[in-house]
Amino acid sequence: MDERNEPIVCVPGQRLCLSDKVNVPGPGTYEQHGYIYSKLAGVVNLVKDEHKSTVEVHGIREQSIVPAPGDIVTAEVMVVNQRFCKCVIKCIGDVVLTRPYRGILRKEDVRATEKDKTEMYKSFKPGDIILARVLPLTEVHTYQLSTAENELGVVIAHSEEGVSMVPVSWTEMQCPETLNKELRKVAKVVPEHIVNEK
Amino acid sequence: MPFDQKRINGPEVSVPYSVYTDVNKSKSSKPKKSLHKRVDGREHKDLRKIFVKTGVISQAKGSAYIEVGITKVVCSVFDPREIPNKNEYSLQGELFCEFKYAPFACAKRRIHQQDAEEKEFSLVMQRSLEPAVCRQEFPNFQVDVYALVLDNGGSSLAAAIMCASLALADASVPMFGLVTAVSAGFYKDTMFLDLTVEEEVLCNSAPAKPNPPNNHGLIMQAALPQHDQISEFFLVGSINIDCIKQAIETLTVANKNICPVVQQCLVKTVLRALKRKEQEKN
Repeated sequence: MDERNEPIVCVPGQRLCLSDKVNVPGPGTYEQHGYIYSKLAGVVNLVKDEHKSTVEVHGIREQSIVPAPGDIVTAEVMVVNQRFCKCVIKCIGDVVLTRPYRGILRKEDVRATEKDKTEMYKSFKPGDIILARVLPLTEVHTYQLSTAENELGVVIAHSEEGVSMVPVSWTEMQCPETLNKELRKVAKVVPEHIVNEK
Repeated sequence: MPFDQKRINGPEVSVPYSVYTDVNKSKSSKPKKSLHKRVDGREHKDLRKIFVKTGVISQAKGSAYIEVGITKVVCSVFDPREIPNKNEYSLQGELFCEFKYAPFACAKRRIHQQDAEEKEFSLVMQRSLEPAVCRQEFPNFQVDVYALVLDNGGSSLAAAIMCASLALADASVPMFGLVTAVSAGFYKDTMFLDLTVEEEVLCNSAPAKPNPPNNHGLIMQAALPQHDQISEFFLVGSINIDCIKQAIETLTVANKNICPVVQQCLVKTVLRALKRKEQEKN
């Protein structure tokens, strides 16, 4: 791969190389009968470490990513209830999903401390953009979300006048125009995001 | 035809004009002619010319268009979506296939809903593609594949399966290999490869004389030529077991011959995508 600059194009089912201690199958490939085959139509990429090189195949289109337990996702709150709130998962990490998936955020998963005293109406409102972590799957088409970390919670919220609010403390956000304060479960976001929002 | 409230209703009954033409002439002479040499000049084990192209539908995640002789099929693949009316947890995703003739595709006009033949072909198409798709990569979800036959020139099901395989690869759905499909037909002791519509009609009818050999029927074989696997074998009719063995060998060779066409089309797709990325960088 270092010698020639031309990319190696492969198609699904194409045999790439022998599978042994040196060559290891990576994403986009699979192993069968001691050989590494390609799963996608794309370009072969060799990631070389000290003793082994991982064979990867990158497809021409973005992979259809399905949320997995442990992923940090960006979701939009749709319905707020006393016991849970329903969300729509928009992004997984930095990848924007082409099809939104449903998520549910229970009352017990909002905070890490004082779970009994949590009130959903003081943590989220419909239309908020939140960061959450995916919990292990219990229902078929609904992903369990959790914001029980300091870095998770509401990232973008709009006031009644439609202005983006600024986080003031762990539980409050303030409208820069009317100076009204609203209660939210605020995420600890890097200050660059705040500058970008303005 | 049932009354359809969602469409403009024409006459209740309509019959194509071809029924009233003289059938006796063509029926008697056609079997004798095509048994020695085919109408379009091909040998019995020759395939028709194939044209394939990907990326023809912008709304779909992956799409492909295929022409095999007169047969024209377009296929589109969409993102994984939730399976309706399903509450169980399953480790494997599902593949939803829909095979449909356009109303203008056949000599006799087709209705807009799927009839029994199209539903059966949809199931055959699904069974052909399932072994090739890595379904464990999208558990609890379903990938939609829609195949539309624009012109039925024979062997539409085989063309649709190849088209769907190309569309799935174009959509970057993980696959163990590419699926190719070829159809064959038997009439007495003659075997036709890659049938046309007239040959399909001929092979579907039983020979007039009751003397052996009395074979008649259609075979469609879908395979993964890169792994020497057969993913679907679909037979309609009555064919001797020795002829079936011979047909399997011939169809396996034909599938291997078709595979480079599909592979080269995908390579062109990848190279075109790489060029587009380089142009965007500059």
